[in-house]
Amino acid sequence: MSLTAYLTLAALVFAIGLFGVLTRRNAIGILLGIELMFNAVNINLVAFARFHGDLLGLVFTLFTIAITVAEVAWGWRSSS
Amino acid sequence: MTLEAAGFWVVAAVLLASSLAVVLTPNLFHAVLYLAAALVATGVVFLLLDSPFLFAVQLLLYAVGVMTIVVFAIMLTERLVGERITQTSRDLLNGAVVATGVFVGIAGFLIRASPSPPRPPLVADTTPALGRALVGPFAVTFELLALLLVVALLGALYFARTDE
Repeated sequence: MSLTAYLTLAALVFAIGLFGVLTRRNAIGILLGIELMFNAVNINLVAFARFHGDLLGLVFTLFTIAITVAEVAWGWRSSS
Repeated sequence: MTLEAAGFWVVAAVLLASSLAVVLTPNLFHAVLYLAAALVATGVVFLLLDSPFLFAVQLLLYAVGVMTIVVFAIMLTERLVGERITQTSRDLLNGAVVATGVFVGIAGFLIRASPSPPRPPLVADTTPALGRALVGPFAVTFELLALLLVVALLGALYFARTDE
């Protein structure tokens, strides 16, 4: 599969997450949408890293995953 | 059709279906379970992109860790038994229009971009290089991440304290 296929998949997931953020009425639903958008960005980072043979994308993905987990732990506690 | 292409289409279908289910299902608990499916499918996408270490991180940290937190948060606040588990959506049309517009914008950029480079052959296993980069040029960032996790833990403790 080409790089464009992966980027299109990520864009679709990002749009779906944005839809969730815009339409959900409670904080937990909005957080779920934000999770989806983070996932789309991670797919983009890993796809670019693989197709350009660059390690930096993988390192950055690790950082975003860790930051997202911290955000989730805090956001869920304060929203529930 | 190669094995990778077949795997990509299957995983893409699962990922898109579970993502749609996350934002459309009215049941909050079901939405969380669909999110778990979406996270696992994303991990499989990482596996298709020759990143087995990120696949493991995604499964262990993201899917299992986040799901544990979320399921506990929902169950401990007793949203399972009450009516609060159902969530409603609003402005469905506006949200769909904005999301479609963003996707069309990104897709237009992708179409006009230069054709994607061919997939370079995998030179070596990325996991050892990733480990060396984390403790080498990114050591300070890595430590800052540890600091962030401690701050998040302290913040959660602060918000969870009782008033007594």
